Amino acid sequence: MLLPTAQADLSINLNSHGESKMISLTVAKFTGPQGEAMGKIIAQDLRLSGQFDIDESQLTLANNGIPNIREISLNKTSLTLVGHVFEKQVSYTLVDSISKKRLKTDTMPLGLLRKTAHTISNALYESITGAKGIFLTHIAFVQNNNLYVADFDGFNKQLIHASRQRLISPAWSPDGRYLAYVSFERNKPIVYIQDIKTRHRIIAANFKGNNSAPAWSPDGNTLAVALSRHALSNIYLIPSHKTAFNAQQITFSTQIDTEPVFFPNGSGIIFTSDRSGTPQLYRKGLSGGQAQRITFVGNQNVSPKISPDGKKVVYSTLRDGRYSIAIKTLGGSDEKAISSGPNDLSPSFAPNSTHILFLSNGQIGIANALNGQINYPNNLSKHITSAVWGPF
Amino acid sequence: MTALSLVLVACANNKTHEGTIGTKTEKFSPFNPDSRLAKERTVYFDYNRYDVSPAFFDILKLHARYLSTHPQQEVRLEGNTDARGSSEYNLALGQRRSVAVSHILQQYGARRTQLEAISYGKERPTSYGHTEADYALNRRTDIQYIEK
Repeated sequence: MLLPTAQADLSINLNSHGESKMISLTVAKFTGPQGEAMGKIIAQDLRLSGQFDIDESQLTLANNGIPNIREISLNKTSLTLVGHVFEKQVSYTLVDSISKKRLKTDTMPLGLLRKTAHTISNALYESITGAKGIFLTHIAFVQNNNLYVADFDGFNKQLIHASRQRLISPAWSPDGRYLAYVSFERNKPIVYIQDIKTRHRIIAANFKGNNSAPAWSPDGNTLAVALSRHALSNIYLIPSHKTAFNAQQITFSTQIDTEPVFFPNGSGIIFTSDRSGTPQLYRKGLSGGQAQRITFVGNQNVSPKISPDGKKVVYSTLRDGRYSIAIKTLGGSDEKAISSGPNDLSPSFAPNSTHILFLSNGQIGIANALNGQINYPNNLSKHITSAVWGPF
Repeated sequence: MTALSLVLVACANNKTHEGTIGTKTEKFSPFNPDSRLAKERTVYFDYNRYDVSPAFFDILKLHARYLSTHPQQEVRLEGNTDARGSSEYNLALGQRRSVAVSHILQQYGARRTQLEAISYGKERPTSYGHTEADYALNRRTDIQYIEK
């Protein structure tokens, strides 16, 4: 139940630079069996979103889930969350610490602990910010040549494929059912597609030379890949449900064209090309026409990903010997630094177009594109060589 | 260009091993561990460079001669880069290095169909450190003879 005042009171304030302010929130100690663990997961979710200053209280601030308003009004944070985990359900209440209003209160069935906690985090995030929460989404990542799928925070890690050789460039199908990736296990780069549930996999592209950089079309029927069959590296389209024997060439460079990504409406791609002498980002329509360069600052701009809302592109930029993550509006000239480097690579958008996952020296970082806050989940901190955020 | 033509002629005249596959007992063979063809199978590159240094022309000539006299033999040319930058862009950069070696082997008499130029990008370093010396060891093309 969302009380009518919540949206108005709590929609994120934007400062004059269009950046969102941090919201201060006390997460009380949830009561009942599993209560403490539940409260901690919710607190960590909201912390990872980069939009909350979280104060984890040692106090319960409630009796059986009913908020103790007098205690709450002593909090210095603008919001307070209390909760109680019953045998088969969990109830929680979000209180405005100052006005003492109950902003949101709900009781829901208790399923798996982490899943229930993420569901509550989504509900809270949506009612506070007005935007969809990403706490039930998944990521794919590669660690020690093993391909894993996990919850967005790195928990519930499942092994999808153990490769004997390096595995790079995992890419989610739009429906979240398949991963395309490049594996070197046959001693050359080959593109595979694997079903996450059944683990069944097929070879998508195994042409002479390199087969790499898979990207899904928005309808899931086509893959764009980089092939070196006729030149150094050009971009081709192949079907996504069988091994390709033919590939439709869509870029025609004598230099390097690679790292394609589709626009969400399928009208074209953005890709990396060094036809100008340094690797830069270009856009090209699929109905023909010349490729247009879209990045001009930096010795390199590589690894583009387009936000699911189609408004922004994120990439890794090399300046003064440092790789960092930057974002720009498509069709605009603005650019915003997301991270400071020195070795920040392979960014990808969360499906809400607000959060960005990237790799920083083998560690996963989660950045908030609205305010530049970056968090590094502790359990995703070692030897990670590729990572990408999945769809809703 | 004159030197190159002479080599091509020399290769064309060398029919001794025509049609045979190299074996471990053959003296001049990549499968004989004592042979230079087994020991010297790596071409190194300078930073941001993809042209083959003349220092490697002699050994590439020997590899090309072997390939021209063993037309059934195939090799995989594996380009590599140092660890800096994106996986996919490095994969394509490594290709510049394998293609450069492929061109020279063809000029010296190897057939295009015997050669597959691929890249491992930055994914298969031989040296795992992050010093300039480590990077130099990783900027390379390895010549890999395919055992049938």
